[in-house]
Amino acid sequence: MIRNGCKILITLVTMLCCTPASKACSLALHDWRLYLHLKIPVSAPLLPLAELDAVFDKIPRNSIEKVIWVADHNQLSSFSLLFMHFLPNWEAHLPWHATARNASIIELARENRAVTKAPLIIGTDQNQLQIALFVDRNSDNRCFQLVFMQTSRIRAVHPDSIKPWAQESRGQSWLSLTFYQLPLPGRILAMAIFPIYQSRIALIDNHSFVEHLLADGLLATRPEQVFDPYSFDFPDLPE
Amino acid sequence: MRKLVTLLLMSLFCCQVSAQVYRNFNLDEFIARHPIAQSYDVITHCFNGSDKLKMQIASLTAKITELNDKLAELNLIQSKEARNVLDTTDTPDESAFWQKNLVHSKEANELKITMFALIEQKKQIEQLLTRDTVILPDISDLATDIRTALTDNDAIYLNYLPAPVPTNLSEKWLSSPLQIFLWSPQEKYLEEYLDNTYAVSLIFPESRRPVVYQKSVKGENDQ
Repeated sequence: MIRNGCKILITLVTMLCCTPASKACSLALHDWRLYLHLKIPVSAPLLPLAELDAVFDKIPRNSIEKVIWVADHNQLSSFSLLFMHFLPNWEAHLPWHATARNASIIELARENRAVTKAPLIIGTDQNQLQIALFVDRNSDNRCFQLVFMQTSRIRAVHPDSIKPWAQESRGQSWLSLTFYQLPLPGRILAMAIFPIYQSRIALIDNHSFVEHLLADGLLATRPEQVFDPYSFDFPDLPE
Repeated sequence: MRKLVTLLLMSLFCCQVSAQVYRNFNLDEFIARHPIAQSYDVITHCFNGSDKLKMQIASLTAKITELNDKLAELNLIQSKEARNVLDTTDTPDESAFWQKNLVHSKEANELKITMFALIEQKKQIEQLLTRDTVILPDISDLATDIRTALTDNDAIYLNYLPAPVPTNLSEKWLSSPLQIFLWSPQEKYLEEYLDNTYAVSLIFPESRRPVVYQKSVKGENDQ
């Protein structure tokens, strides 16, 4: 009995060792090289994704009725607030009051301390927009990735009378577009945005186009063991 | 002088030759006697009484709870400090407050990253529980014990394994590298055998003396 068991065991181990690694079903293996990198200081974020991420899971739902967003706002700020309704976070659906940076966040919070449902105050400064273009060496520089990354310092305060909360963090949000030769519809491999609920969300994943390019040998196949669902789509940008 | 050089060269070569040690190891018997192998149930295809994965899940759950408690503790500290700065009647030192707050935020962030990694690890193990691969951690333990039993790193171990089903292929392979090696144990024959070992796994159906050559994994020595 034991001998039979052992034989099965050895056969199983041998089979596991000899089985070739199966190929990943979809996306390719890229070797990204930074081709272009621009850093542009901006007065306010284009979209407060990082701000929403900073307060995610921090404030009890329905405990606030409005958000005061303090920054050196420009015309784009009011435009970006229009997109808030498309975001899934419940905080994004509250009224956001864009306020100029006339006083400190703490001062503003103290002024709103006595209010019944104290508003959430989010301050954003030291904003920077980075634009990066990567080329994929594995595709003989025919595949590209365009990245728009926003970084900022975020100071958030909820001056609740029972359980106040405050936190400073470095905010980061990005939009990435991967395309073959030209950023035209039909040539886009993937489009992703970060962060939504603290995760990267794929808006476009054109698997059939990628598999078509893989079959033609225009992209390198990604082995399964290389896949890391938690890794970013592109290498770190220079400081 | 020439004699001295010749003697030195000879002694150098002799040392290399003498370092080649051959040992016997009965892998079949080792596996048969091992408690993990003995607990193998051929009907259920599982190791009886194996609670390795359940233990791992329990350990991960405990670590996650611990991290969660630490996060709640940090949250409480931040809340207390926020209350102090909001309640003070004097002009608060905002710069110092935010500096301290940032340190706590970074600490909380690192704890969260660790916690999410543990949660993911736990999910993966929980998925293993419902699949045939549930036996893999036990097999991994068994393989580790086998490697530990091969104590001499420089030796070539000759092992006994159960012979596969007899076929009529063996006669074609009388001059195979393994056969030659068994007659004349030189490393090059063994390497040739091992280089082709996956492809030729069925060409020694009658052989009861396959080999395990305990050679360092590539790159292991570089570390």
